Amino acid sequence: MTLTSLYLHTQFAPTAIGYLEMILVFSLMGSLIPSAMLLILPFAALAYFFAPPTFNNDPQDLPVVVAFLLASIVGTHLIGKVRREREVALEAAAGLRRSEAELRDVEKQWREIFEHNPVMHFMVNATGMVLNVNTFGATQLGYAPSELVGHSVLKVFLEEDHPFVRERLGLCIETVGQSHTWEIQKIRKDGSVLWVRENAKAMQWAEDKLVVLIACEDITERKRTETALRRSEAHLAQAQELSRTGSFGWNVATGEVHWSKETFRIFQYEPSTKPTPQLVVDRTHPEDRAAVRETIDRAFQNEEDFEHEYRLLMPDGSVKHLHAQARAIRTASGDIEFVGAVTDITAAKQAEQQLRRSEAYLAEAQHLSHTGSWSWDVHRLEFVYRSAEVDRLFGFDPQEAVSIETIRSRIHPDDLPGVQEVPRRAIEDKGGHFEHDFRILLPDGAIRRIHSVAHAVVGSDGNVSELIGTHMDVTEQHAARERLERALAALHESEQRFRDYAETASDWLWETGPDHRITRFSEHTSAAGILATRVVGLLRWEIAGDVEAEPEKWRQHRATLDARLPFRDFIYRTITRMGSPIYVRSSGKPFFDADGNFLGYRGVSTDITASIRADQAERELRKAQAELAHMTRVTTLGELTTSIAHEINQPLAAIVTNGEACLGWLGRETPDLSAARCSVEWIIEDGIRASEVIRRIRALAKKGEIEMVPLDINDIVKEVIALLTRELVSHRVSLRTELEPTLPMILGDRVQLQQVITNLVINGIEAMQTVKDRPRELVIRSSQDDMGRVQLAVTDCGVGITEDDADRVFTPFFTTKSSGLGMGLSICRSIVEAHGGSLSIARKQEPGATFQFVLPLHKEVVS
Amino acid sequence: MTGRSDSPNQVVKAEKPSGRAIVFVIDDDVSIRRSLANLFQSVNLDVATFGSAQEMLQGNLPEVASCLVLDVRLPGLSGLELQTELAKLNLHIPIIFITGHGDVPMSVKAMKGGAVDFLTKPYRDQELLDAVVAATERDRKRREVETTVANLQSLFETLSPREQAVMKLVAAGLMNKQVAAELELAEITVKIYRGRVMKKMGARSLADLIRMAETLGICANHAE
Repeated sequence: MTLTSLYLHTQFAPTAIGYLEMILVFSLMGSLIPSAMLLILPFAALAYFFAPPTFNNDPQDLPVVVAFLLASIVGTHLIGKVRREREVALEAAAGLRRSEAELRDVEKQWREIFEHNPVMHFMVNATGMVLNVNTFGATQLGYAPSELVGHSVLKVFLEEDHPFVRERLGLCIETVGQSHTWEIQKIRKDGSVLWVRENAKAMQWAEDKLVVLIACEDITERKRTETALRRSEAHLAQAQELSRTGSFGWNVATGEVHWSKETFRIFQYEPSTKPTPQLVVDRTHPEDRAAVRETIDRAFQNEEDFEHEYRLLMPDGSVKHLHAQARAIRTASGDIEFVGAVTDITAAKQAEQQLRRSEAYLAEAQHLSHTGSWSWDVHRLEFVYRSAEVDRLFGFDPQEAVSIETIRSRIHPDDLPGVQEVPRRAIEDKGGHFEHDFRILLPDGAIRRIHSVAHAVVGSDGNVSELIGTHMDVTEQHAARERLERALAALHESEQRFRDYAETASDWLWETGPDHRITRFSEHTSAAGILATRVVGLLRWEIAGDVEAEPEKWRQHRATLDARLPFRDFIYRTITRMGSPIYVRSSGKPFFDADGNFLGYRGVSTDITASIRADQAERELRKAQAELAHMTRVTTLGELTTSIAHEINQPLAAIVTNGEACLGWLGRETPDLSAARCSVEWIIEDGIRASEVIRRIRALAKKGEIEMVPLDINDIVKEVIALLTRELVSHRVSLRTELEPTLPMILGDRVQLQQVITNLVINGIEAMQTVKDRPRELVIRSSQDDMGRVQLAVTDCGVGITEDDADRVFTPFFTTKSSGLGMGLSICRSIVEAHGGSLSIARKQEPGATFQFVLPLHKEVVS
Repeated sequence: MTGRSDSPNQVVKAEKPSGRAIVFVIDDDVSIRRSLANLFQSVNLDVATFGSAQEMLQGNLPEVASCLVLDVRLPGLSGLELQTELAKLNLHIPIIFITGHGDVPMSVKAMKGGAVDFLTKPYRDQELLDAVVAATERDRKRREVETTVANLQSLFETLSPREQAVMKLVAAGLMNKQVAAELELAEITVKIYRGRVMKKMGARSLADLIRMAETLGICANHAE
């Protein structure tokens, strides 16, 4: 280089550049030391040959030399550095080549493991494309690995899982290095599904690429078991919920209690509550608590199954009915565990009650309405169903099956064809609705009328299979209707009767105007000629013939008319067309128009001349009878003189004696005043008694008007006895009275009835006069006969009455006695008959006779 | 006074009941019954009243001097029948009959039956009181006699049959000799018996013994 440059006489600068290039080339090839020596040489050469001497005074070349030096040093250094690095890299490359072979062996091993590991391995990139999959994984899915690599991993997932898969991949990529686990279904190539558990993790792969590694474990079997278990659990829970049955387990030894969800629900406890037997007892209805505790205790002690029903009282106050059943099971550890079910049977209980109630209601309704329901098999000819009421109507035994013959025998023979017609027609018409009436003839002969309604039931074959219907007992309605018809008929009859009466009666109808003048007269009256036809236009007091004779009567009548008041039974005298006097009884009532204006009177009049005459005759007769009665009464009193005298003498004698005694008490040395007072009190009592006797006799002897007043027959009997006691005693007759204590009142004359009874008693006494061989007993009995009338009987045990005499005893002047008028019984009979009663002989033959009379009741007489 | 009462058959007594006479009143009429009781009590007599004869017969009659006041015409058992009945029962109560009728045949019958008195109404109360006093006195005496007889009877019963026979004959007035002949005994034996009889009977003299025999009604009917 130096020689060349010298030869050429190159300038310094190109030479320096040449040298520099040479240095750099050398430094590229060799190490630092040769390059450094090389540096020195060109520097020296340069400095010597091509540059003015350094140490001469030409300083203008020095910076160039220095620059050259610096440039060569830097260049050398740099080249040296590159060279070193290059050497290192070459060395590394050789190492790599060496280890690559080893690596390939290992990889091969791993690859084997990877490929055949019974875990599916997938490597997917961030977009989800499969980068790699192991053979096992692909095979599991029914693919060859090549079929999967390069495709989206979504291919092996269910369509609906795709979003989930994408979301999972995203999550892995976001959280690089963290592993995530999930369970998901995959689809095989053939479309079948398998459950896998996937473990995924994202990692950096070559440069900034991320991949997701996924390991899958086939959990289909587990999943299936799990699903089955879950399903069966769900089924159980659902079944429990539906059947309202909760289950429980109770390990007695450990005290461990398990309740199903439904059990919590039944007992209304939070499922988080720790169940204990005490909770059950707490909820139990207080009334059942003892029984429940006892059942549990007994089961606990005897280690035996138990079953019981009890009620719960819920916090809201409602009541639940439970049925609990448990089995005692010996566990593997030898403990006793109760496993059981508890069922809420409230609804069943209620339904049962409701059913029972509605059944009862139906039966009651059927019973009340006398309606029985039934169902009849038209082919087998028997009841498919019959309600209790049907049995009752037919008189069947509810327990027995009823044969067609029995049914026929209970139907009235006349109605049987009609009853048999119904099923026949139903079969013929293939359907229909029937109503008919028939009669049931019960074995005891009673007849029930039945109204029957029936429907044909058509089977699937279109033929009638059954008749269903009701039988209603209409016997009573029928009877009521008959009664009504009879009543109507009777009403018609009576209407006709009254029309006949009205037409034939002697009554006549009249009408007067506002001025009381007669305006109308019924026709048949004038035809009969009772009154003159000219009465129309006259006033009543112009027709009457007694206005002057009885002014007061007419004044009152006119006052009544002026007051527009109705009048009744106003009697006046007038004369007929023939001029004979008649009595008229008239009744009338005012009538008004719609505005209330007085229009006059309308009424009825009757010719009562005949009855007035009869009344007068009867009054005469009564008077005569009363006089006769009085006469016989006085005669009777005469006959009783001795007895009556005794009745008066007794108290008088007692008065005298007491008076004497009183004097005795007073005349003592120390007068006994209390005894004297007592004596005087008795004197007064006896005095009253004597005057009472006299009063009775006077009443009997009185000749007074007949006074009809309400009376108690027993009182009259007692009064008679008071008068006749002595008579009975003196004739040695014992008296027995059988008086019915609560008799209705009768209307009668006290004295006359006393007379009747007195007469009968005296007759009885006398009839027993000759009796020596038996006690003389007289019985007075009062009672009520079947018609409610008061009856009085006097029975003696005397000689009785012969058949001949029986006919004659009541005739006047008949007597068997030596004394007496023979009027007694005749008078008695007329008195009783005047009272509306009757007197008769009830027993004639010895020993003795019974005379009895009946009297109508007070109200009958009045009405 | 105690026990004054209307009650018909209550025994009404004065203060000192023992040994006093009692009047029985039977009447069916309560006024009469109580007025009579009142009357007797006012003169210090004890009274027992009855409504009927049967009631009285059913009651226990005290063993004291008494008399019976009754109405002839009693209901049931009549006065006369009661009289007969009492006689049958050996009850010799003196009876005072009261009658309102005063018929003679009945009075005779009653008196024959042993009635002590027969009062016809109207009577004066003093008459009744007198009759009652007389009757009770009589009854008292009769009772005394009855007591004596009873005593004699018991003494008589202490005698041996032979002694009784001797007594009967002696009382009949027979001489000792006659008695001996009658009884076929020696006279001396009769004498001994007679002495024993006198001693046992407590007779002071023969006359005494004869009276006793009369009282006892054992005088032998000597067949002379």
